[in-house]
Amino acid sequence: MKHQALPPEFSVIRNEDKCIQCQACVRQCGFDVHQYDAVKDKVCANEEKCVNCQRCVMICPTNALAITTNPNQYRTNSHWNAVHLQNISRQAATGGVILTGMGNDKPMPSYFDRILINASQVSNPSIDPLREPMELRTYLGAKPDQLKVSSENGEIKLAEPLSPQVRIETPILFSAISYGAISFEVCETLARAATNLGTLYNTGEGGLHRDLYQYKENTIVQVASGRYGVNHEYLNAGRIVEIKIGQGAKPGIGGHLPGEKITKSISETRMIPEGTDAISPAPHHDIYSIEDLRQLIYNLKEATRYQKPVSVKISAVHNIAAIASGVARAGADIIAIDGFRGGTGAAPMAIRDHVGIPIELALAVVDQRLRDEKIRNRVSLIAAGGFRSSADVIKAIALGADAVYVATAPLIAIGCRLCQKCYTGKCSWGICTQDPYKTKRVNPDLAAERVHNLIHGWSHEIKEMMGGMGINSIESLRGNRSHLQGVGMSEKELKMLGIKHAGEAI
Amino acid sequence: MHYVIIGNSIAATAAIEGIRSQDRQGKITVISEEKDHVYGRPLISYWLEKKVSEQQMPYRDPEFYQEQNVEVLLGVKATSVSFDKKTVKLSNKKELTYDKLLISTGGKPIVPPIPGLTAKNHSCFYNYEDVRQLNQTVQPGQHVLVLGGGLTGLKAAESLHRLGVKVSLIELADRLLGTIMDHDGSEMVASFIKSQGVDLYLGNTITQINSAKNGLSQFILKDGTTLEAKLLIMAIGVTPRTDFLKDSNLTINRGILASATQATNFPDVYVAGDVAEVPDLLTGKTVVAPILPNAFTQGRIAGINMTGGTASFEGSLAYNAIGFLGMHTVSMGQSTLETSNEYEVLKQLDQTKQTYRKIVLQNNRLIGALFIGEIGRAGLYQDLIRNQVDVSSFKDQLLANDFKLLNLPSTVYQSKLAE
Amino acid sequence: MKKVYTNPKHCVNCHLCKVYCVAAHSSSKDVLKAYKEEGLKDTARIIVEETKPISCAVQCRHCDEPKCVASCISGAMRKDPTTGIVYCDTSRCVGCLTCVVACSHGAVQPGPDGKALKCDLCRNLSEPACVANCPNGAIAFLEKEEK
Repeated sequence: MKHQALPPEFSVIRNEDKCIQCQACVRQCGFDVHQYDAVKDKVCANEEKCVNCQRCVMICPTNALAITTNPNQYRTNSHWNAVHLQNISRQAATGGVILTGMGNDKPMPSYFDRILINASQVSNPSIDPLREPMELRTYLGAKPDQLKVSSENGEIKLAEPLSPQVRIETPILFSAISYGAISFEVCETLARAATNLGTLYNTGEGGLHRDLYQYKENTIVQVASGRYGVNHEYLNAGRIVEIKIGQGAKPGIGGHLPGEKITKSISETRMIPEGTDAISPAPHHDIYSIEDLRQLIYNLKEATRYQKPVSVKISAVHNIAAIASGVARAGADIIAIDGFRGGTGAAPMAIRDHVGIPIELALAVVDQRLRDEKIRNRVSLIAAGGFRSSADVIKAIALGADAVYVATAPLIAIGCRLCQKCYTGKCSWGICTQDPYKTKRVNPDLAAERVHNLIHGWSHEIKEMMGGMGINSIESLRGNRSHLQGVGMSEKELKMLGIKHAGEAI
Repeated sequence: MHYVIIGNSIAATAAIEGIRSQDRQGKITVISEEKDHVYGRPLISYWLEKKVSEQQMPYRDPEFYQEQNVEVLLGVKATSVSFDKKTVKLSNKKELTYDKLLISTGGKPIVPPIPGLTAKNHSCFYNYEDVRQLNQTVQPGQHVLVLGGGLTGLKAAESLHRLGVKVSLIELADRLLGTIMDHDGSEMVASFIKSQGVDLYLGNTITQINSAKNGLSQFILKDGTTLEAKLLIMAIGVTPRTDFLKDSNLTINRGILASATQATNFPDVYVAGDVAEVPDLLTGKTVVAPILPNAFTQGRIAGINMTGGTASFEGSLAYNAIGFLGMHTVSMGQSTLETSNEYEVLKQLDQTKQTYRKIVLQNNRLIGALFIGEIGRAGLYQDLIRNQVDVSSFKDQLLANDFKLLNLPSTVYQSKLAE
Repeated sequence: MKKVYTNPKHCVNCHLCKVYCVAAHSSSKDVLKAYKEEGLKDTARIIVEETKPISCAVQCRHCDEPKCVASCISGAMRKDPTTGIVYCDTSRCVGCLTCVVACSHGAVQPGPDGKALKCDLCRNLSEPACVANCPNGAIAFLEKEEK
């Protein structure tokens, strides 16, 4: 039924005066959009396949290319917009689930954009981070209710051992992305960048490739419902063991890595047969209660001889405060909360765009609840889901986070242009693919430097903003909501966030 | 230290550079029978057809001899050598004493005794002077015969044809380029050349020359054909130029026998180029292989060794890249062989595109190749021959016209990329 | 001497090295003008080989004893004794293409004008254009020992 075919989403605009037929676009497009016609000595485009990933635009040596939204759009209708029409047509043809990738792109309110940061003026002078020490160092892990010390021959010592603590030099960690979802090169990039920055990256649920064990001091190893690649050596390789219960982009559902992505190396790392689908169940089949979770937490602590903090990652959902309290009481040392803007390699669009709640609200209510229950010290909180800048990070920390997880931002630093076609495995940027022709497009030497630069820049900005607030240690900012004020929010929202409206006296 | 070099062509030039790469001080004297600054001999056909000017003929810059601190005796011939006294007698009655001697006198064209052959009715096609003379005597529209369907004969025919001269090429064998091409290759070249307007007389030769009217001569061929022409160009081959050494005890077979270091059987006497007989890279048998790259390489090695160095020649691998009226051909090694018990031959022939690719293998190793039309990256094959690489893992790729380094086993291409 | 080395692990087969090679050897030194006005298409001195998924840029190794120099009938092919750069003086090249057969890397090619075309390490630039413009850091300009 040709009349039911979809018009192309994008138009490829080629400036023929500038095109030199070098065909770099032809060779780089992961979606076979550009084709060279040898007879006419011209490059042409099959626009129907274009996903606007911008790889061709970046590679074109003469800037001859531009990708725009197809001007031939559907009739304007603010309720039945183009995405709905397209999805309905596609589902009418296939009967399947509409898949997508990366984070929720809908115009939902961003509380970060309505929160403003304080700065010192006369009475509490600001600090210049270039002249004075400024501390971003953070320790992740459970802190005791009281610190008991003893004195022996005049030497003061801790009377009881602390729970394991993990030091990070900046409160920014790389969130879980599995080997399989992304290429080995990207895993290596994140591992190397984390090592150089003195922070941690997260294996995701795909196990740890042999060649990445060298970065184990900067690795969080994840245990998810599929338990891929989990063994004794793996658990002990990381600095932190993380149980993944949920993911912000797709709360309540599992994952599915198609068999064609399970290459030899991935099959070895995940410990599953080559070419078989890797299906992560929606729940952990051994967790149906907080008590079950406690059992898994302690199993992992036993397996790692109580040397590693155990983190539990949960999606930000409606009853998040109570859930977090339960997780803390189950013995987690760290709780990672992933908001509804978190990224993914593949999720049903209906779920990505409509399930879960904003991280700003989730974080604020969790921090408050744990304080109210006097157990806030028992866990470190890591906030995740759509952090775009140092300002987002600093706002999250003031709302109560010990640190944040970022993944989309470093992927953008590596090349990702959020085309949301991760689930196709065709990624032109070589990030979310296992095609060896494309994975080499990420050169870990260059990419790790770019990611390092990004986080280094953010960290510097955080120091500048802290200095402006007259604060010289990130510890003093943590949960310090008096440094935040809101604009354009209702009383209820301000109350949930625990902040005052802009202009209100502190 | 006095280095004396007899001959002033490519081997001599390479020897000068070889000596000077090691020894900036020693005295170098070059004895040059020709009066010209060194030039690449194959350029004469390009000069004749005016593709190369007088100024472009020299093989090195005009300041070359001065910069290299070399004394060149132009127009002087070595008449004899005393290897015991270490002296060279010259045609100008002088005598040079050498500490190290290089003989690089090249070859001289073979002129067969044809009844009626005179200095006026024939010319060789060997040196600059030959083409200068031809340029004077031959006019566009005239008819010229070329005897010999080898590389020299074809290049002579090409340049004369391009000058507007009517050319008839006579070859004793039944095909052209018999030493480097097989039947299919010869056919392709022959039909192309014919289509360009050169007359071919294969399996034929000249038996008698008579003078005719208007300064022309009458040439009678073996098959009875009679051709009237202005001139006959003799291009049936060259032989090592060793006459001046015939009374010495120097070991001379076809050429002067050279060791791998280009040394002769006399101490301090070296030989290089078309006059030398050297081991063949593949068979190890000694051969005279009069091709320019061999002359250069041997000359440079001889030069380095004359200063006390230890360079050595890996053996001769004959290869040629020659274009005839726009048709490019490449041959290397034993390119004429056909499939037999011993040899495996891969071929791809396209008559309409006039392309031909041929590979000769022995025990899964390349020993020869022939290309017509598409010659890009032919050097890769030469390297396979030189290094006797086992091709069994990529044999099916060998004939592809985009054959490349990446077709080689990864360890091989990686080490080549790292060179 | 410093040479250009390509790491196939990082070569993405974009062929931009060729584009910038052409521009660097044009009179305008500009990509658009080199292709659109000077008609220099197909004059890259660097070759990009591909056998999917591997690709690699290949160019002259500037050998110590270059066979192309040994084989040159006109003296056009030279090795600069100071820099070690092997280059072709195209004003002297007659297009016999013996160098094409001589080069063990297949790095000398017949150019569209029939003459030999090969890398000269961008003699007049501080860094060869292919190295400066590789988008993925696959091409490096290094001493052999630095590799």
